[in-house]
Amino acid sequence: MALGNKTLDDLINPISKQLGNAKVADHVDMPEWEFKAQRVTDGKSHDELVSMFEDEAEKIHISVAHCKAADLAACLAKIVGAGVPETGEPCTVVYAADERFRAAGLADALAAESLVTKATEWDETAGEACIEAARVATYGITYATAGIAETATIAQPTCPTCGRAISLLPLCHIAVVDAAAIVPTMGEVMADLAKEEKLPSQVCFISGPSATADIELVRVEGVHGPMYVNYVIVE
Amino acid sequence: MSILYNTEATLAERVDECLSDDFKHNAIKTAQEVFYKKRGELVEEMGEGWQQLRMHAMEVRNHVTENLDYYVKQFAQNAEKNGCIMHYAPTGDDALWEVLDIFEQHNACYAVKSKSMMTEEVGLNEILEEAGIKITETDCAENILQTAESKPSHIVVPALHFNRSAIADIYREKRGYDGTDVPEEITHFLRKILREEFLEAEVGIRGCNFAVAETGSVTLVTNEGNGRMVDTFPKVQIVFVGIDRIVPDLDALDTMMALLPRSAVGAKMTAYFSLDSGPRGAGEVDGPEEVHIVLMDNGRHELANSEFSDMLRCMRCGACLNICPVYRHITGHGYGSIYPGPMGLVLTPGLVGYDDIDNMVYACSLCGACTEHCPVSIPIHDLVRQHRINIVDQGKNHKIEVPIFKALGLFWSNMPIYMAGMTLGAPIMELLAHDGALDADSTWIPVVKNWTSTRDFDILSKSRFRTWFKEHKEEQAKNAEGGEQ
Amino acid sequence: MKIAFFPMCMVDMMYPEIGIAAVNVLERLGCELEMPEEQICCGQGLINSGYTKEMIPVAKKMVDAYDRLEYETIVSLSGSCMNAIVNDYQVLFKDDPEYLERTRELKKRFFEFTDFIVNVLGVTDVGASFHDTVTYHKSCHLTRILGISEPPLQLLKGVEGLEYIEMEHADRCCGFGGTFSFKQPVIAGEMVYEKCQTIIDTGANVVCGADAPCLLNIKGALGRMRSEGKLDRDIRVMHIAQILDSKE
Repeated sequence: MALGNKTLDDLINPISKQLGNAKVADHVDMPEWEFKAQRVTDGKSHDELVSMFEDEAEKIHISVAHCKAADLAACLAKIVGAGVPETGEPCTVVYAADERFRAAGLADALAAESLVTKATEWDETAGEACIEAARVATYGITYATAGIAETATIAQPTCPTCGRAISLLPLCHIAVVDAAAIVPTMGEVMADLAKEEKLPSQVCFISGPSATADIELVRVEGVHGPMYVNYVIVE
Repeated sequence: MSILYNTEATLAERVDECLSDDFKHNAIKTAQEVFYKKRGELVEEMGEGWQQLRMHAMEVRNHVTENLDYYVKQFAQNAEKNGCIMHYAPTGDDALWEVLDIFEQHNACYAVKSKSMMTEEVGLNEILEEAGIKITETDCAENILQTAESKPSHIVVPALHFNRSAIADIYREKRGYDGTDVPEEITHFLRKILREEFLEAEVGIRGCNFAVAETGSVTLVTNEGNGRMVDTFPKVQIVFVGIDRIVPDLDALDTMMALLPRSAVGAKMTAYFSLDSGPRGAGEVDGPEEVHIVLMDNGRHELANSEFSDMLRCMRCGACLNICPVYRHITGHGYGSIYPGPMGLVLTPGLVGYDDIDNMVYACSLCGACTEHCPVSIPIHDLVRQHRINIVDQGKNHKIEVPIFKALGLFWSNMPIYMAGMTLGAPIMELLAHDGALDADSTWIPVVKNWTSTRDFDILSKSRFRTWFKEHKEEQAKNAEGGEQ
Repeated sequence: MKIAFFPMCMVDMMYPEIGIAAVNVLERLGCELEMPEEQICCGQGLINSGYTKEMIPVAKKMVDAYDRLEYETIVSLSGSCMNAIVNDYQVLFKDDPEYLERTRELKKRFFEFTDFIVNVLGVTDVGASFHDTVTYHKSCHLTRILGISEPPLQLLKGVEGLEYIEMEHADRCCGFGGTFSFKQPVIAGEMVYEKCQTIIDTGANVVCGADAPCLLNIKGALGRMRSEGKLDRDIRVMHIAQILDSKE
């Protein structure tokens, strides 16, 4: 048989045959599952989940800050206002074009920081220029849709106002998450996503700085993605 | 590369080579201890929940296997609805043809790749390089292996057989590195040189840990972030998906993700886990403009509805390698397959058959530690044994051993022969023994030398337990009679 | 209590003293033992090497020997051989409904030696005394597949004067694996030497186990280390039955 240009049927027919099916079923019902796993988050109050989220975050080297919604801009400005981590040199910032950042007055707060030499709001119309801004940025700030207590993970969907590069290219990623959006496990996030008509092109679940142990099992942070991750939990 | 490599060497030769490399041997042993300990702590923390998760994962994966044709179709159709361009590859060669075609259509000659076992399986890198396409491995360890032209010794940390100074030297020679041997400095050098490649490459090639049938999504689990770079910047993305990667829905995905990172690296979650559903959406400025999914079988369907169907549950976590008492000595290189360790002993012959695997499936003591640790409860050691049974049934065993096993079968099922063997064997062994054991002086005796080359072997006892027992019972009976009188 | 005793072939062939110790212990606990004369070997080495056809007569002989109405309880002196009989035989007899059914019946009546004492007889102190340091190797099939890990330790802790020291990775395979140790001597050698090192590291004077084949392997390696000068003291290798039968 010639290579390539195979159809779905070419792929599936041998599987059906192996399974003893004359044709592929039109519909398969999901069975009633026999097992349901208890999770460490079971029975925890929301406050306990938030503190679990924080504790787990610290275990994986994420710095956590808290603030009231009204203080969000000030809280973010304080973090980036310290300049480049460890050296304290002047820094640049790229942030998602999120309504909540605008409402908080983030642009003004950043402009007031002397060590912040440039702050760029993600702009879908600017095209590649956004990516360049993210490439040179020290800090990338995003607003996560959910936090997962069990693993200190944040869920970050891609959308026109929040590109993938913001949480990927800068040296530091700051993820803002509403305390109310902290859920026990990834299961709850998945259940919410399952209700969506169409999923975002990407939902990235992030849990800590990019890391490797590929050389002699020595843990090194900051491989291809951010070297530092901060969470800001908004009460 | 394809599934098997270094096939010109026998298992014994590969094992000798591995054992002669103390650094590699110790590195793998250390890695095992580290992952074993970290995994153990997390499993303990979950209490009962861990076993329940395993059982649930098993029922979910079995359901998919039992309806594999349906779920492959559902995934393919939904991925297409998401705007992905589907390529169907019943064989590895079909997959290669499709990939070359994609490069040709885009006139592309530069690709970055995030570690993918499926691409290893079909030898994608070699084929692309032959076609004049530059392909860069971007996982640190894979990049080290590619630069050093070496093979993985571990499934999760594949370059463990190189020490830091060897790695630094590789980059000094090949990429102009001028830093120290400190892992952090080498890693940050890789960050710098690879970042340029991510931003320049025309095509990103990646694998897929789980494919979600209901949503047509693919997923990628990484710690370094190279997977994210690959699926953020190149305009064209090629995703390799095995037909055994499918889960029915997002709920099942959560179950798998509760098991995978804990089992693989002893972490609750990896730094990155992305759920990708199609190319970049309207108004998005990054992410691939075109997503090509190569949905590949390459022999997997033959495992369905067979004695090896349990293996289709495997999620390639490597937990079985991290506990295997054989793997820790012979390392990934000992097996001569890109799928090493216990899971590899089942999967490799399952995909390539028995003709070219030498004695691979005998590199296992059937201790069952793999089965106990497998997050999806694959009876791995039973399946290894099943391969041995099939090898004998298909007449592919070593003919020289057949009389030995036939004789054992006779010996163990026939009392006069058994007793004659004892009567004859005991004095002969006695003659050859020192202090009741065959020692290093008995290495001239065929078969026996396999044991006595490394260990002493206690000889047959002069008397049988059964003889003592019979006399003992007779004496008891006599005493009882005596008592009654 | 009437029980049928399954000593396993290696005890019959090489280590009658282990079988005698076990009989002493069980009789002391009030058991009346019987042993079918025609039993020889479970034949595990055959299926583990792939030779099922050759194993069938061996397995049938074993089932015939023990599948008798009068044997309500069968006590095995090996976890591995018991696993072969109660579990592997079901694979072997998958196309033989009669023997499959008999194997399943047999499974209900089979108990491993230490499990029987602790969980059937309800005894953890068998009245033994053994004044020495002891470590215990958890054999694979007993511990992992039959799931019997606590009873041997409970029994050891019940022995007067015995100081128990746990070895690192006590449940890691010693490298015996039946025919594995002949087919892959180099790998098996690495495994047993590593096992021996963990035994040596405990400082215990005695290593014990509940499966004779592992003990053969460990004893062989410790002996070789001793004669090659790699081990500077004697470490006794004993079956747990021998410790439970001790008054020292």
